[in-house]
Amino acid sequence: MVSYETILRLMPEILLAIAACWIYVAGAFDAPRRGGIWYAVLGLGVAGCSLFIEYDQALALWQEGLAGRAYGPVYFDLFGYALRCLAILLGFLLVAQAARDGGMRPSPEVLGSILLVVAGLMLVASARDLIILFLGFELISMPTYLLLILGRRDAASEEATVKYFFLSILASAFLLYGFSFLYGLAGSLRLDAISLRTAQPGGAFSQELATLALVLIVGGLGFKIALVPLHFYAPDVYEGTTNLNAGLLSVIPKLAGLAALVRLLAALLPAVAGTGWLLCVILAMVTMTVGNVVALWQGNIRRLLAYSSIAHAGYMLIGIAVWLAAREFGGEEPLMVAAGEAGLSATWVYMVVYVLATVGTFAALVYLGSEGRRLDKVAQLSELSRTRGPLAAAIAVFMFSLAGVPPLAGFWGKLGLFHAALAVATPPAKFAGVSVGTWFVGLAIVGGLNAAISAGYYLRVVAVMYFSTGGAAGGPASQWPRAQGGAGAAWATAFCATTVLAVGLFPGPLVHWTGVISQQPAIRSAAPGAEGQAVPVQLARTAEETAR
Amino acid sequence: MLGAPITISHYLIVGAIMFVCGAVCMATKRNALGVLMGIELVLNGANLNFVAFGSELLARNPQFRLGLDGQIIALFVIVLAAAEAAVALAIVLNFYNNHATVDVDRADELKG
Repeated sequence: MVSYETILRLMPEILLAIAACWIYVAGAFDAPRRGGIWYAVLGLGVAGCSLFIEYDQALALWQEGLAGRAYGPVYFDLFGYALRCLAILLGFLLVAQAARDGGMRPSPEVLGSILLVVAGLMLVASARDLIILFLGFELISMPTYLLLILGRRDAASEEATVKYFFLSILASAFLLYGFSFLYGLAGSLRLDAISLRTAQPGGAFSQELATLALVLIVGGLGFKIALVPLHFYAPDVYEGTTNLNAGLLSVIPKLAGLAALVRLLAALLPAVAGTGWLLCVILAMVTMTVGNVVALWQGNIRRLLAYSSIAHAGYMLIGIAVWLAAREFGGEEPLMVAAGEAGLSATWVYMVVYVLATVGTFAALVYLGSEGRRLDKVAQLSELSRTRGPLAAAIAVFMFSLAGVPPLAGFWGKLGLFHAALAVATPPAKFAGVSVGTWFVGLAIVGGLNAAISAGYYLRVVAVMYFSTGGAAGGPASQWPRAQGGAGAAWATAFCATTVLAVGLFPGPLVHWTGVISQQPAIRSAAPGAEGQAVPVQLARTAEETAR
Repeated sequence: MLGAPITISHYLIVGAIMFVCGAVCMATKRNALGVLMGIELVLNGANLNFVAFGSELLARNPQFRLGLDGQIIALFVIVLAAAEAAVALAIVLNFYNNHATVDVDRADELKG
């Protein structure tokens, strides 16, 4: 049922959209571009507050062991709530960097678009309906095109925009086409109705069509997450655009894509777990390896980080594969359900750690840029340790974390994933023979080897900063007159570096909370009526009819 | 033969043909506006599926009604395609300013 409470639940997104519209309109009367940044911060702040007001309700859900509540087309559960909080945080970090990108005040369109992108991510995180899910993705994509156009005005930037635009729409079309088959199968666009229909034993649910829908959806989302056969746009687009846009592109579509993948797979679980886990294992192996190996000989820093982001998408899929395999071979057995949820939880730990380190790195690059001069090459970072010690140290922290060096956050992320993969592989007696176990042991080994390969290029960045002298075209950034990225980018870098260090030293809270959100029954299976799921979910009519 | 009913499958086949034609069009056309036409085809191929699945007239069992979900998402997608066309034209115009052509194959600077 849609009531006023639905609007209340969606208030943060609504406030963000209002703030974005206000920034677009007011920007026309604000030639010196002074106001925009404060409106953006204010909008994010108010949206953050209205999200924070709901904190006790989200917590109450968890304490009562409820799945979450359904308000019309949206879920209100801890999984969505946590992602929305992360989205607001990312919004602050991105707006802070945008405050002085390239030594200039940002145009109001840039700030408004960032707010809309954040709103889109929040919608995707809480979607219960395929329409909301799809429109949320478009709310992320459309302002992103705008940001890409506004970022730079040269031929390379045009090329990046055109490439991203056409490929992104094709990916959206694949997603939509997959959704159309889901609709045909389940007779409803509601995720819980789809889930109910899939969970029916011996129902008229066509396995072939479900697999087709799965492949189309994974194809569409794979573009957003940058999985390997669909990754080729990422390096070109990152290289052709600004550091700020590259930072946004490397985290927000990835977060949204993974959130949507988890929600959709949860709805489709029993029908697609069998094909899904193998698909995820293979995609994970190929994505990790290609990303890491090709990154080894990249001279452009954004290209390098693009391949790094591709490789990390591969690691994240390990957890999804574990989750699906545990469901396929363990069924509802508590031990295996726990193992699967551990995999999902490891994926989210990894995601949070990756997001912090990547946004921080790009914030540092934004900070180093100045008017008409952008940091492009890895070699331009040389001698940075001598002239800008703290910044070099922050970048080093991010690189070590991304590489997974022990005391830092990235290590816990990788450890969790590999541990989850091995946990599913160890009790072979319960599984369909040795082969499944071997797949996951192999997955963990490939992951470990990849971590070693990736250290090669991450450590090269650190080595350039600390041990190399000059030699870059255009001179090293350290010899440029001054960094004009402004205080916002510096604060964003400092915040990310502190958080990466803190999570590295005290990973407990993060691991605990990702564990909690992965146990949300709305993720486990949205089918109401099962034990422990006192979800006030109103069913779609068709689902009721089929159940009769 | 003429009395045989038109079923959902027929619509699905038309939708699939439209989708594939659109994807091929996007992959092979060099003119940016041609690619834009491909976008319309893929989106409307998916739309056709939605409307066919949701249609009461095509359902094998008329009691089994699905409501308006399919039609509504189709409407949303039509609006979305219009918005995307607007953005696409802006992008193509910018591209033309820089490259003096709308041939997307000329965008080949970034590689490695």
